[in-house]
Amino acid sequence: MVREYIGTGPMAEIEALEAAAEREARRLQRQREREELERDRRLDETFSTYSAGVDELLRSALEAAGYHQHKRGEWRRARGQEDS
Amino acid sequence: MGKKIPDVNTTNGRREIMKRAELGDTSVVPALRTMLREDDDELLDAGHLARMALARAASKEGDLLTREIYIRQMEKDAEELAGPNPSPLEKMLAEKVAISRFRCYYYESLSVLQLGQGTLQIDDHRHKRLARANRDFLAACKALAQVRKLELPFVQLNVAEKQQVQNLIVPGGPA
Repeated sequence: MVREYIGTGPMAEIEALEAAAEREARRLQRQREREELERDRRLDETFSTYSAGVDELLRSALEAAGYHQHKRGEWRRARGQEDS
Repeated sequence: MGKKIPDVNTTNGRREIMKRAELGDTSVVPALRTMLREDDDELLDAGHLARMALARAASKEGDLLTREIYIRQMEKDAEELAGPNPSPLEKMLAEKVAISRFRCYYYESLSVLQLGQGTLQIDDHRHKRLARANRDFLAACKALAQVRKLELPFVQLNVAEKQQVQNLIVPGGPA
């Protein structure tokens, strides 16, 4: 925190009011941003849960059908099952 | 007692439903959903919560019409991406692509509209979030393309009088 002496009198009071208003605006801005981050976190969490569920279902279905994922990329048929 | 729900089959009724939804009247939501789904097929609804959360975030608080339109838009995109006679797996992946695409559009518009309005920290957060959404979208597209490329064995199931062709076989599962 930096303190600056601005003297006394009406001009100093006006400056003090301006500084207080700026501080309040910054505080409100930080609060809005915190709220936005929290909203975004909740939304992203909902999507991540859904996305992970779909991926898990896809993996289970393909593995059950005899496929395996090659190096976390392409899905391939297990050896010897290509023509079955 | 609440107000009477207008008839979805008349033009005036549909208008009134939309008007009331815009004003935040929750009692018209079932009618609004019926209206927006002319022919509601049996959808594999794994993405309901994600769709709902995104649509709610993207629309103004209390504006149910916009929210429901966004939800319907994602459903419609998923139907189009899935194409005719999709397998359950394709349907599920198409749904994920549609939701991920909407998520990208939404984050992108947020980034553009709010550019330079926040601190560097929040700008960075929005940028990273958009990049993550784009990566998720591309991964979802890739998964759908891969499943389409694989020649999964087909099986025909007859449920009631409907014939369904599916390509999800679980060995050892019920016949």
